[in-house]
Amino acid sequence: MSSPSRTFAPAPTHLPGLDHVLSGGLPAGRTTLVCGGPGCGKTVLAMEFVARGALHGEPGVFVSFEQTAQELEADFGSLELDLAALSQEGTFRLHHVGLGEPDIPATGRYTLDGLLVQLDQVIDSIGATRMALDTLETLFARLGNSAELRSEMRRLFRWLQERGVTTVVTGEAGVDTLTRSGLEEYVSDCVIRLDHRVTAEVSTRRARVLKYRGAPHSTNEHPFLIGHRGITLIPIDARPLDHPAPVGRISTGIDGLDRMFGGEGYFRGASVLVSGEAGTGKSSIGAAYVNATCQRGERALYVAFEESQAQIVRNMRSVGLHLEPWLDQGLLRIQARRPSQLGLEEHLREMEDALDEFQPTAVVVDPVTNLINVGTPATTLAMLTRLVDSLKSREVTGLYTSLDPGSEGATAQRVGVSSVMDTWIEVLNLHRGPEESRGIYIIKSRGMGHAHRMHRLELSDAGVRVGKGLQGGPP
Amino acid sequence: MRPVRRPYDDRTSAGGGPSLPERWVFRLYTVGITPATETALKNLREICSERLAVEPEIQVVDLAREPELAVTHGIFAVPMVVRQAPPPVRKVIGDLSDRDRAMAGLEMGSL
Repeated sequence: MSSPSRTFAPAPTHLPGLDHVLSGGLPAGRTTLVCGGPGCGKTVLAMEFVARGALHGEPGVFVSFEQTAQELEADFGSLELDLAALSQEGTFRLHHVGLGEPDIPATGRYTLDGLLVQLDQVIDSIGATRMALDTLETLFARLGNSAELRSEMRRLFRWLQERGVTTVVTGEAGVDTLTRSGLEEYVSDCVIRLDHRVTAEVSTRRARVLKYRGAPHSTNEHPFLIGHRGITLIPIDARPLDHPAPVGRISTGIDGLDRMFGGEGYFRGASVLVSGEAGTGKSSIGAAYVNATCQRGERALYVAFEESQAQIVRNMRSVGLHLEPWLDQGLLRIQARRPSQLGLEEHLREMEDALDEFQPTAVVVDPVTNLINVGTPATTLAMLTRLVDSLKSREVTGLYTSLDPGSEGATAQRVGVSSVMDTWIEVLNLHRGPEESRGIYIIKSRGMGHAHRMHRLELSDAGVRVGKGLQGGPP
Repeated sequence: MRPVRRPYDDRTSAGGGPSLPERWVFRLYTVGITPATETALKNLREICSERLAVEPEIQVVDLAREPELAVTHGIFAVPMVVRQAPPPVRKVIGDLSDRDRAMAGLEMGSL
């Protein structure tokens, strides 16, 4: 997706989402600064840029000033990047620049020509077109931030530019500056800042392109994840930038409910909240949606926090939904977990791994509010935001049920869940007449016309049905 | 106390007595011969004649001619002076114009 208005050709990072935000990649033949606090993922990003480039036929060198090659190979083993194998193929090289133990004192004028000769050698050894320097700040820490070193740094960056190797340099965040030693002073083409915050148990990572000379780029802060497959960035403005808002619709699996949404169902990639008290049929609405997805031959993931797979299958059979065939055909996967089994972060990681591996087009989380037992309302919201972001980035339609104790909408509102949802459906028990009866209405649904009246929801062995509108509006 | 000048003898530094090292070897790494290289060499010679009773062996390694040594010997800044012998190996960078730091860094100050 390179743009004709770019000054430099893009060097793709091959990282989902990031290339989108960068309009194709980092500036080829230029230097990019990736900065942020400790543990923000800058080394991972730098490594991925080089290693993924190597996988795609662009030889690359990762130059480390701190960790040795063995330490890096061990660190990245968990990220499914087999650095040793890449090295053997001759398209990748890890190079450790030792700065000496103990510190090597400076006794007068010096230059970094020794480093330049080293870099020249390792670049030539594999014909590298990509390089990472992690991190040059170690030099400042060891040699002292002198005018001399700064002028040598400037020369190093000029040399990098003349060499034409696409380079990522990493820098540790400073107190009032982007990097501790002011590396941003030398990089004029591209600067990316990463941020890692942990609130209670949930970590949120954000990336922002602060500067990109001569190329259109998104200036927003984008959430990103570091999973087994490495970095996945979620371009939060993917739609406005890239393609028009998705007009594709996906059936709710219930004719009457589809009619309430103008006859077509949910938006693809939307987040749908179904809230209500216990026994109002929230899970049935989720299961009907999953059932319709599988009927179309698409895959669906059902994450259950209350019941086992067997219980879900049995309960749904009683409302005329037969899930076994979908399980047998591998179109449906039910992932039943106790909320307390894992921390929030692990729950997320597990769901994201399932998304990567199973590639569903529909996901149901039932009930998402059970996770409140694991985290605080704030952390649950953080996690949910991340999950919603993650599903959206994959254009997966997510349906989340929310168990409300007592008054309607209380839990959902308390946690603020509804704010991150595109569509909010409320189901409730109506105590009108002798028979148990239920009502359903749409509280909101962004970007589409929808019914505003309460409708009757019927659950029987003949199936889940939504009847005609009832007199009077929502309570 | 003035050490006795003796020809090169490999065993002296490993010997048990209070004998001083007899063989001093320095390596000066540079990239091309620059004014800084020449200053460093001059300063190193002067420090040695001031501090050592023996004639040091000084090897000049020009990385412009032997670039692969920059990688194998881990040279990042030049000039770099490495005290190869006697052990321990000590390194300093720069042209040695700060004599005190140079002597401290090369551990030649306490002789």
